[in-house]
Amino acid sequence: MKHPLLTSEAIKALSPLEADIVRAMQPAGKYSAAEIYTNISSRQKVAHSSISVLLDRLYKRGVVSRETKTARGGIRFIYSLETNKERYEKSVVDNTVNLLIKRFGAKAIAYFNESLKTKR
Amino acid sequence: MLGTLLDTARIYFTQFISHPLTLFVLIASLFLSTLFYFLFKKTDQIKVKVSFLYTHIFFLFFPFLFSFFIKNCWKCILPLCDCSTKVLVYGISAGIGIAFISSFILLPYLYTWANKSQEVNEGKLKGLLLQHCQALGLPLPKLYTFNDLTPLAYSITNIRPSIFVSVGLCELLSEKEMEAVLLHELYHIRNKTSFWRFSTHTLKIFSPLSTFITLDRSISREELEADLFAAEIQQTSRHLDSAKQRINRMNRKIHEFKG
Repeated sequence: MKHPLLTSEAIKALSPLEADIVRAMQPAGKYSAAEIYTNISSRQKVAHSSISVLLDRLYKRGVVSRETKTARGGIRFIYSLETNKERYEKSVVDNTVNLLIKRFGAKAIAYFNESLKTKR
Repeated sequence: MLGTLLDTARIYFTQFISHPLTLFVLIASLFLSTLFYFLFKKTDQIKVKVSFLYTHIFFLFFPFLFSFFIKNCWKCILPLCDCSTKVLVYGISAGIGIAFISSFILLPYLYTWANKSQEVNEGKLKGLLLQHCQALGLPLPKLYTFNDLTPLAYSITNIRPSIFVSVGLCELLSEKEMEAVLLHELYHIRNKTSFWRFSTHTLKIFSPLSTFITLDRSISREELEADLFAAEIQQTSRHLDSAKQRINRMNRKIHEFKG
């Protein structure tokens, strides 16, 4: 089942491994980093710590949300795809704008400025 | 107002050094303060070090306290000040006192609030903590986890002993490795390391001699002792070493992805 918020444009803004992580998660599912690692490592060679760090990055960007769970195996993060549309859209806009500014610097800012003036 | 303050300070110091008793108290206190400062520097034991540190600060301020409250100097100075200066003098003194006491009391609550920490009341970690506290005869500290992937653990002992561990650390380490980390933190709680660190920060605020103090050696020594303590209880340093290796690897990975 495809997540309604994860459009192809949104996926393009992610790195290949980040996109794989997002694809490995079902919209209503809840996953530990270990479960996502097991899923991805069956297809490609990847370190468990890379998955944890990328999940953390996706969480900070608002693509996934997480909660802490105390279970018999210990204390761990449980991740799920972000369902708050507003927060998700804001994160996609943030990421896209930041990426443009990082790549094109002053040119991108000048372009935003010009286009704002034209729209006004 | 600054002019009035400077004038008041000038009058105060003139009275201070012109009176033989206050002058004697000043010299004696400065001598004792310096003596305790050197004793503080020479000692290695944290508990003794902290007591020397506070004695040093006490003698540093004693001449002012003596002249103000015993010789009643405030009675001769304060009538010279206008109302706003009086408020400033009392306000600053009260502010410093309240800030010092409240920061000591509120520190654990501030840590909990700032990290949005969750208290752990069940599970293996709490069980391990309970078991070791009973064996060591220590009061059971509160255990908190906080929402961070970075592997971190620290403890505080002000009023309410607490251990904080990041969820990232819990995910990363095995049960035995987490036990080693908890034992390391229990050593800090037993030795009141956080109180020692709080005291050294206090020293930095109040004592001009603090510029000559480097605390790195004491802190590394304390960390090493905490490691030895954990290894002694577990009867091997294997778990602590592997925990450190995993933590270093994870930190490198986090740094690598940030770059």
